[in-house]
Amino acid sequence: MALKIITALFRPEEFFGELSKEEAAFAVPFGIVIIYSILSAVAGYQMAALMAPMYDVALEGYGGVIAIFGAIGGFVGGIMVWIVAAVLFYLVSMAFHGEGSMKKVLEAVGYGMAPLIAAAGIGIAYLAMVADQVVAPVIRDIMDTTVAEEAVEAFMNQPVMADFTLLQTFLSVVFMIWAANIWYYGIRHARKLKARDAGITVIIPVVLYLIIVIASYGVF
Amino acid sequence: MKKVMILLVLSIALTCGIVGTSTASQVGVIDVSLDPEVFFPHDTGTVTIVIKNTGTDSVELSRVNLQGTRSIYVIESPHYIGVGRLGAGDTMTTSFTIRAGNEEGIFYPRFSLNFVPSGNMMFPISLKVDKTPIEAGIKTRPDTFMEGKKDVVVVSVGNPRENSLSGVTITPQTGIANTVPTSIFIGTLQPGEKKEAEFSVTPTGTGDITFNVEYRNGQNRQTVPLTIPVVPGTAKRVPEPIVSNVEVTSIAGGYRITGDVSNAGLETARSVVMTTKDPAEPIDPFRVYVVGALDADDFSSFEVTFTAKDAETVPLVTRYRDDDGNLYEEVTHVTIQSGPMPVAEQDGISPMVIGIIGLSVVIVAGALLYSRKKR
Repeated sequence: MALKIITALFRPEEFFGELSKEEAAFAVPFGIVIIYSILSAVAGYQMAALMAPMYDVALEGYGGVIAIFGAIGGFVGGIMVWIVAAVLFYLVSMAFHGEGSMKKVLEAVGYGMAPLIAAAGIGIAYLAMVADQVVAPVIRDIMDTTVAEEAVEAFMNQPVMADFTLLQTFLSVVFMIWAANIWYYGIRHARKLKARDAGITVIIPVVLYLIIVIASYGVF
Repeated sequence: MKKVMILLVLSIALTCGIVGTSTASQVGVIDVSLDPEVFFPHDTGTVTIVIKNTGTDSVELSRVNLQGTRSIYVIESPHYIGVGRLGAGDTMTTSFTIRAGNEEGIFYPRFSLNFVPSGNMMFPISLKVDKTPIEAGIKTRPDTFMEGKKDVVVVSVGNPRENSLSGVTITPQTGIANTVPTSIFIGTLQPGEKKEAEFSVTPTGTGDITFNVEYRNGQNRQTVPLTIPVVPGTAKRVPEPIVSNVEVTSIAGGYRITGDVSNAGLETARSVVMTTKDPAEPIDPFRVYVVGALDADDFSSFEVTFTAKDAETVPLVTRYRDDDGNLYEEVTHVTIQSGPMPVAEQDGISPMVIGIIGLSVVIVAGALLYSRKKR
């Protein structure tokens, strides 16, 4: 399994060329997706736990519930990335008369998510290190949306969180480019596409994603 | 008293010698008492004289009299004219009310008896007038009074006179301070005796306090006023708690203030308590932080928790007591964030973040180049 992942990471053309000759197997890609989802769940729990004190007055005693919802959201989000990316690639590749099955696309996308594990892991480790420096402002009236927004904004703008957001954005962009590189070869072989068509198939959703990520950081 | 007795003996001898009659020789003054023993100028008192018939026959008295001097006035006399007979071995007591003049000194008003059918007896009475008053002074008082702070004032009284003074009472009189007790009764002061009276004085304003030392010499009332000015100021020896190293942080449901409270004064600050007050509302776990006693030059850390809505500053209250139990309150205004949390200065991107990003870029770039390498 480890060898397969390493090969997919560093020699994706060779890896997916070989994989295209076999039937779709989900064990390894699903394992990658599950690991990524678990890490996303941990990251979601971390962030929700840090923000929970903000709602201690308005939602007294619900801090634990908020953190659990954060974890569930992170886990579901990890799974959704896999499915949504696969569906998008499948749909876009249809424009180029892709032939491979959805299963092969899911398999390729699963392998391609391996770099995202590193991004999630680094983010979790960093946030764990700086968590004690994070200060949560208190929202007394959750119905007052202006105050709530200001509080969340203040929370995210504090230096430690600003650093974390910057790191998270960069990691998302950099490792997504790596993932896109793997997906390019994966989709190309899974859907039997020309190099140009495979590139367009991957680039369109990935670029959209990157634009959203960078825009949410406040660059635009 | 000794002088009076000597004079009394001399008088008896003289009387017998001068008069030379058997009647006069058997009647004599056996006791003279003065009240008061020593007069102040203008004092009123009494002279009481006891005479006795020491003979075997009765004696008829026609007149009993006391003659004043230039500074001793007899203001009330029984005027014993035609007193009657004084039986053998009998005694008779007679009193005269006198008043001292303005002069000091020893005076000799003359007591006289007239007998029937003839003969008389004279007896000079020694009477001392001394204007030396009671010695009264403030023995202890604070260097500086503080408004609302209880201080001790000790009044000392001594009797430098030859006779005792009775009914000595010290009464403070003021409209600008609370004094406890309102009066102290010392009683009788024997010659050369000294006593003290301690008052607690809590000033409420600026003005004077007069301690009236009242006493009696016989039936004459005398007063010595002792006045001290009260100008509330800053005392030199007081506890002085100072709050420093204050940090405000947000916590669940409010804020936390941590800091140090130091005693920069010269006295121990007792029962030091830290808390907040309106518009802040103390909350658990540290509604109140009890520091306890804080010696001079000592310090202690503290922590208080509170909520505050729509407030940019909150009053941090330091309550403490002095050695007398007087309660003081110092307020330090602490700025909390105007928004929901402190706005910290961004000192640039963390080097660690830059390092991670750089390393990630290098790894990913290497991976991409390696994956696209022609084989």
